[in-house]
Amino acid sequence: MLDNPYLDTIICIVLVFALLSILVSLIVEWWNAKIKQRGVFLQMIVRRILRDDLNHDYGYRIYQHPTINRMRRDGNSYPYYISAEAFSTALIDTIAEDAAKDRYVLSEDGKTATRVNASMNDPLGVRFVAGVVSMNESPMKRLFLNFIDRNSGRQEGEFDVHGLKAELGRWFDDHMDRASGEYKLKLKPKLMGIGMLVAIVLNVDSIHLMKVFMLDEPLRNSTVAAAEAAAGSWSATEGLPDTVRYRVIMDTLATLPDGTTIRTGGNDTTDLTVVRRIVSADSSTAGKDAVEVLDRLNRMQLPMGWDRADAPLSWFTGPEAMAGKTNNPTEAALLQYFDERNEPGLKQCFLWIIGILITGFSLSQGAPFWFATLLKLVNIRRAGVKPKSTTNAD
Amino acid sequence: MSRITNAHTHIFTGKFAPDYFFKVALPKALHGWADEVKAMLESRGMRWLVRGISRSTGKSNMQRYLNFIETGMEESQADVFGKLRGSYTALGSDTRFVVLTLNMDYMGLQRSSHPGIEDQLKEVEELRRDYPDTVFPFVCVDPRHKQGQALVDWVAPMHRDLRFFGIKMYPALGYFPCDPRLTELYAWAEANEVPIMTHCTRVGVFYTGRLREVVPNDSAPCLDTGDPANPVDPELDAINKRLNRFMYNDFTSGKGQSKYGCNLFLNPRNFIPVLNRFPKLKICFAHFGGDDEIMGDPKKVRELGLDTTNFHTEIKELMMKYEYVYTDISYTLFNDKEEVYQPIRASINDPVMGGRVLFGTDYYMTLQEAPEVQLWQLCQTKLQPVLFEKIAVTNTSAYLRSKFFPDPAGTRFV
Repeated sequence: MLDNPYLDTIICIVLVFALLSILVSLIVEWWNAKIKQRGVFLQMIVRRILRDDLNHDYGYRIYQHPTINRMRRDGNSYPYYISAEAFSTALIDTIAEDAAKDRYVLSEDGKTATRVNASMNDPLGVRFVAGVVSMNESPMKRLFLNFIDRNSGRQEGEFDVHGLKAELGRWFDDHMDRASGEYKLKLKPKLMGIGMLVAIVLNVDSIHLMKVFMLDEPLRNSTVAAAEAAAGSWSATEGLPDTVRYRVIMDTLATLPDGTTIRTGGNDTTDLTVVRRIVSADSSTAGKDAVEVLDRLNRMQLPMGWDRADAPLSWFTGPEAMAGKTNNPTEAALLQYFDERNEPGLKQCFLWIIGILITGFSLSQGAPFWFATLLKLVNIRRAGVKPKSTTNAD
Repeated sequence: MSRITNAHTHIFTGKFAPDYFFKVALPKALHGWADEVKAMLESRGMRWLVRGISRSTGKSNMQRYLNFIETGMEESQADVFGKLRGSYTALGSDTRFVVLTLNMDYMGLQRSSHPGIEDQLKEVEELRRDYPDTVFPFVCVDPRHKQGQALVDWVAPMHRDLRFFGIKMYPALGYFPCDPRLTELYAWAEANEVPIMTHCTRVGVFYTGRLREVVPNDSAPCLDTGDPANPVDPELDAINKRLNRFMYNDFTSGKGQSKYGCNLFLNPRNFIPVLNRFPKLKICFAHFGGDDEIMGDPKKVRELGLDTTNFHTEIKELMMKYEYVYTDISYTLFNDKEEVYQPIRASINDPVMGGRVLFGTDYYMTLQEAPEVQLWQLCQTKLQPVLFEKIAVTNTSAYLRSKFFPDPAGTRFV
């Protein structure tokens, strides 16, 4: 076991970043759900892969197909997920429909116009081929013709609709794999913005955190214990979706005792009450999860949140000196640091801004990054994890 | 009263407008947040808030504007049509509707991912399948989309199969009606008596790009007279003078002045070379020039010296000169002042042009002024049954009559 206060401090900071990153992810997902961005993004991707300036906007039209249209919650939202099966069914039907144009024929006396749609009697495969053939020449038409070629039998008119459906489904899945990477990239600026917002609203100054973890041994020890538990859960849940892994970590942390700190002075070290009250007003799952993360951070007694006695509010309300109230040298060093920080000054202000910026930027890296980093650091602290036994007792 | 026809309605939704259509309405600083702002406007909470404010402040124009926005944001054209039809069926009327599509694909020449005109038409066709005897769509043309014989080849089967019943033009979106790329279309429409409807007021949507992009030379693109000995129409000189006044100021450059582009492209006099060459072309100049033009209100565009014509007067002159020029009172009918209705009544009673004034409302644009039912009833009250029946039954049937659709009043679709 490597017992190094510097390494422990880094582990503590990384755990804080990881937990706050969960909060950031929850807020971003909640916001995206509010503005229906995931559905809008999926719709944008579907329309992009089917974009054909020389023909119909098939991406738009398959969203009108009942298979997909019925997935919508209301007129202003789009489904978050479309299966390959639903996609290929809707696309085949949509193109087949183009071969079946309505027309009206006037009776001889001109008094009656009757609707005629002869091609509706043809099999689906025949209508799909006719629909593709009726398209204007375009790269999309050539692509569909290739699909038809690959699924045509040797006999004329022989056409495997199921084979075509499967191939279109695979084609769609390939695009979706790439789209998930693009979605993450698209979220980056939002993660950065929300990360900064969380850093400011919760007053999470990374430089301050680092100094407190260095000086406050009981707090450092209790946080490292939490970090080891979190890293263990992260490692044990490998392969599961991130949301499930976060849930397991939160459940594990809930079983640990509250954090301890040597700091005294009549104020809570962490005051997230107001933020918690605001977040708990949202009854969605994301809201409940966010409250749980805030509760956990509160119970860890971390030096964050807004308090009149602490910087930066103390710069305006007047700081209260606390260092002289104790004879314990370790405690005195910590309180001395607090006294210095709570005094208004250009240096303190500059360090606070830098600390907030570091936090905001760090939170934009996402929880998976920080939990993976945490696991590596905890392994170093444990001086390496024992390799898993691959054989039996022999 | 026989079955009436509303000759001017719209049911296209905001989905068919380019992506940048919403952005141009926002300050530049908010362009990056356009999705968020749009989502906010679409949210029920925001609508509830606006309704609450309009109720508490008694500002019904906010409420009307909200109704207009809500209708434009409907999920499908069928939903918009449902609202329109509901306004009439509620009062027991089985009114028929000319549904005018609108091609906004080239209004700014920027890249956009919105569904294009083909998809808009497809939706309207599907709607027509459900209401074959009620919906009479017009296909919107734009010489930048298809031109020459290709345009005719695109439009003709739609009419032959009785899927569409006329042509919609909206020159304010960035082209001159006398554009030579439309010559074949005009020839075909004249030969087959297919009706054309063109927007004709100084307001509405307009081209948002730079004028130079659509008019590269100092001369307006203009079809010839068909006479090899004398190919240039005499009106072209006046059109070019007007163009150069706009060109000099670049009044379509998007510097807050682009709305004047409306005036340049759709001035009724721009149709004179077309009517000189195709005198039997059936064209309806919508809105009768607009209520303010009828009342002779000074317009800023005239104050600027860009265009001194009065659209209402010009339309009347064209109607007197060309026997197939029509007009409709859509949108204009919302203004209940006698200064508006008196000239309308006089025109309907006029022995020369009285048979060419049509009833239309311009739904859902008019929701900014009043509900559809209110407008329809106002028009009936102001015109009295005889005149109303003339413009809503007799005149509209004559206008819709073509070689493909010889008996609009008598034909039943099954």
